[in-house]
Amino acid sequence: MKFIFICLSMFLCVNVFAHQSSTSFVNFEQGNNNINGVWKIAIEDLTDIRNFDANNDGGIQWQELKNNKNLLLLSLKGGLKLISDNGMCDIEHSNSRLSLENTLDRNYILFPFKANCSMSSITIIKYNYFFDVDSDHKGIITISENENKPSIYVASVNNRVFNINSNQADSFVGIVKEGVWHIWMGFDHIIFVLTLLFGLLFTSDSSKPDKKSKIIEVTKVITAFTVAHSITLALAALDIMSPSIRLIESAIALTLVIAAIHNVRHHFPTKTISLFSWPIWKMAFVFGLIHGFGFANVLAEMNLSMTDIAKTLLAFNLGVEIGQLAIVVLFILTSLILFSFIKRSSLKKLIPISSILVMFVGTFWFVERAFEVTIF
Amino acid sequence: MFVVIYDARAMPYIPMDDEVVHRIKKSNVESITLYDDSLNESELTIKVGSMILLARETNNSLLFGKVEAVLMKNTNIVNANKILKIYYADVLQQRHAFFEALNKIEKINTPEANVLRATIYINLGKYKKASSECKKLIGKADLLVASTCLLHAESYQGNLLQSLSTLKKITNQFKHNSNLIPAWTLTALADMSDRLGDNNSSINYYQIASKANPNNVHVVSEMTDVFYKNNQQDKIIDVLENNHEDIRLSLRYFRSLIQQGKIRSQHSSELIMLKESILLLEMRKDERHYDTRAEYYTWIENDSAKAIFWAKKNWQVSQTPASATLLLRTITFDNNHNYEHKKLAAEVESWIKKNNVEDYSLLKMIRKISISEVTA
Repeated sequence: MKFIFICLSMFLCVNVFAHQSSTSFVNFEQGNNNINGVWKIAIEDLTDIRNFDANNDGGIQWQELKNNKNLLLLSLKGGLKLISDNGMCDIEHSNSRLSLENTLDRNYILFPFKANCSMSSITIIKYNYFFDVDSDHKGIITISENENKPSIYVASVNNRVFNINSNQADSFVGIVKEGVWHIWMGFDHIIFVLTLLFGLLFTSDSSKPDKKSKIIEVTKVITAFTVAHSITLALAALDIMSPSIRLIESAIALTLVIAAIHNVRHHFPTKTISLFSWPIWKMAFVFGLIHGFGFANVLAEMNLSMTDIAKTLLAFNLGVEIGQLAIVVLFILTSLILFSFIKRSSLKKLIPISSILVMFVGTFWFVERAFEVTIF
Repeated sequence: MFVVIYDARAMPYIPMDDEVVHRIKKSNVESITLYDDSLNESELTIKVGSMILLARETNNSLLFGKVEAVLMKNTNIVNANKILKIYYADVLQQRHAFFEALNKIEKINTPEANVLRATIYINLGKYKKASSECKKLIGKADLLVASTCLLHAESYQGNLLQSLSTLKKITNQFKHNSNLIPAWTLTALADMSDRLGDNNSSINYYQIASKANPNNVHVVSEMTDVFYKNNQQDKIIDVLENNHEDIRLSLRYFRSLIQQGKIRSQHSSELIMLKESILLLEMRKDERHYDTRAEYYTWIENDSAKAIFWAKKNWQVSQTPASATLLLRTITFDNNHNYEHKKLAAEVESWIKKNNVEDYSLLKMIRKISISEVTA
C-alpha cells in the first residue's frame, strides 16, 4: 500500500525537470584532408558511468578527469560511427586535448576528433552513446558543409541511425508520397474530379456516347485539370501569386457546388448562365486553377526546403498526378462494371441524387471555410 | 512589462588541474551503483523502487530516464515480475508515454495497477475509464484511497459539487489527525474547490499538502496558480523565492516578478538558464513538454504566436481542463483576437459541453473570448 500513496501523491503527471536532460552535441565539418569534429558531453552524464571523485570530496577536479582520460575515450569508442562509400571512417581521439565549456547550469568536456574520410562520402551516421544509462538521452549531431545551412540530426533511444547520402532520393520520394497522400486525403479535390467524371460518363446529352470518345473526353478533362493546377501550384510556390488561404479554400468548396449544378443543369433554368453551358474540360481547367492554389497551401505547410524548388514542385505534382490517376482508373473500372450490369437509364437516375449530395457538402464546406465557423 | 533575455555562452578553455569542474549531487551518487552491478530479481526490484522514490523525493524527474535504461537492460526479469512491470509503467507515465505504460500493465489487476491506470486515464482526459479503474479499488484498497480515486474521476464528469462534498465528509473523519490524509487526497480536494471557484478553500488544502510535502512540485505549482487567479502575486513571489529550481516553479516565479515589475539584474542569469532550457527542449525535438513551452512564451517572452502554437499541440495530445485552461490563457494573452482564436475557443467550449466539464475559471475565460471583438 505504500506504493499507492507514493503514486497517488503524484496523481497528476508532473512535467518537472530540475536540471537539463542528458544531451550530448556532436559537431563536425570538412577539414583539409579529413573531417574535424568536436563531441561535447556533460560532466554530469559522465559521472553516471564512473565515479571520478577519487578523493571523495563531493567535487570533481579537472585533474581527476584528466587521470581518467583513457577510460573516458574508451567509453566514447563505438558511440559514434561514420560510414562512407568505402566502408567505416576511423575516428581518432587519442591525441586530442580536452577542454571545458561552462554553461550556467552544467559543464561540458569537449572531445575533439578527426575522421579519415571526406564529408561528401559519408552515407550513414550511427550514434549509440549513453542510451544504456539514460533512455532519455539525446545526441544532437550537426554537420556543417560549405556555406549551406547545417544539417541537424537528433539521435534518441529509438532513432540511432541516419542515412544521410540517400536523403535527396528519400526527400524526393517523400514529397511524391505527400502529393499522393494529399489528393487521397483531400476529399474536396477527389469529389470535384469525380463529380466532373460522373457528369461526363453518366449524362445522356453527350453527343459522342461511344466508349472511345468517352475515353478521349475523360483524358481531356484530366489533362485540363492537371495543366491548370500545375500552373497555379508553380505560381504560388514561386511566390509570384499568393491569394489568401481562406479565399482559395472557400472557392474550392464553391467549385464542388458549381460542378454538381452543372451535372443537373437540364433540370434547372440555368441555361442563361454561360458557365453552365461550358464543356466539362473547360470547367476542369478554370476550376483546376483554383485547386492548384489549394495544393500550394499544402506544400507550404510541409515547410520543405525550397533551395531546389523545381525538384520539390516536380515531386509534389508527380505525387498528385499519381494519386489522381489511381482514383480515375478506379472510377472508370467501377463504371465499366456498372455499365455491364445496370441499364444506363437506371444509372442516370443516380445523377440528381449524387449532385444534391455534392451540392450539400460543397455548401457546408463553403460556409465553414468562408465564415470560419465550426458547424459540427 | 516583459524582459529581453540575452544568450551567454563562455568560450571553451583548459582549466587548472585543481579547478572543481563538477559538484556531485546525492541522486547521482546513489545511481552509480545501479549501473555497476549485475542485479538479480529482488535486487533489481529494490533498486528500481528506491530510484523512483529518490526521483520523487528530490524532484529529479531526470532519474526516470535512468531507471528506464536499467529496466530496458533487464527485460527478461521485468517481464516475469508484476511489481517491476508496474514500476516500468509508472516510469513510462512519468515520461508521458501513456499508451506504452497502459500496455505494460495490461493484464495486471492489483490495486497499484488500478491506481496507475486511473492516473493515466485522468491525464488523457478519459474520465469514464478512470472511474471504472477506481471502482475496482473498492474492497481492495482502503476507503480514503478508493474514494479519492473515484470521487476525483467523477468530479470531471458533471458531479463536481457532489464529489467534493462527499470527499470532504470522508476526510472530516481525520480532522483531528490531518497527517493521515495523503497529499493526493488534499490535492484532489484543492483541485475540485478550485474548479468550483472556491479559491480560498483550494489554497487552504494546497497549503496543508505542501506542509507535509514541501518538495512536491505539483502541489506548490498548483497552489501558486490559484494565488494567481486570486491576483496574489506577492504570495507567489514569497512562496517561490527560495524554491524555484524546477522549471514549472521558475516560470511561475518569473511570471509574477515580470508582471509586478520586480525583475532585477540579479535575475538575469536565471532567466538565461530558463531560456536555455526551453531552447534545449526545442533542439531535442522534445514531444513531452509542450505546456512548458506555451507557458514560457506567454509569460516570459510575450510571444503569443509561439505560445498558442505550443498550447494547441498540448491540447491535441491531452484534452483536460488544464490543457484547455492553458490554451485559453495563451489566447487571452494575445490582445489581437482573430478568427483562429474564436475557433479554438469554440472547440474548447464544445468539448466542455460534450464532456459536461465544470470549471469556473475555464468558463469565465470562454465567455471573455466569446464576447471579445475580432481585431485581427
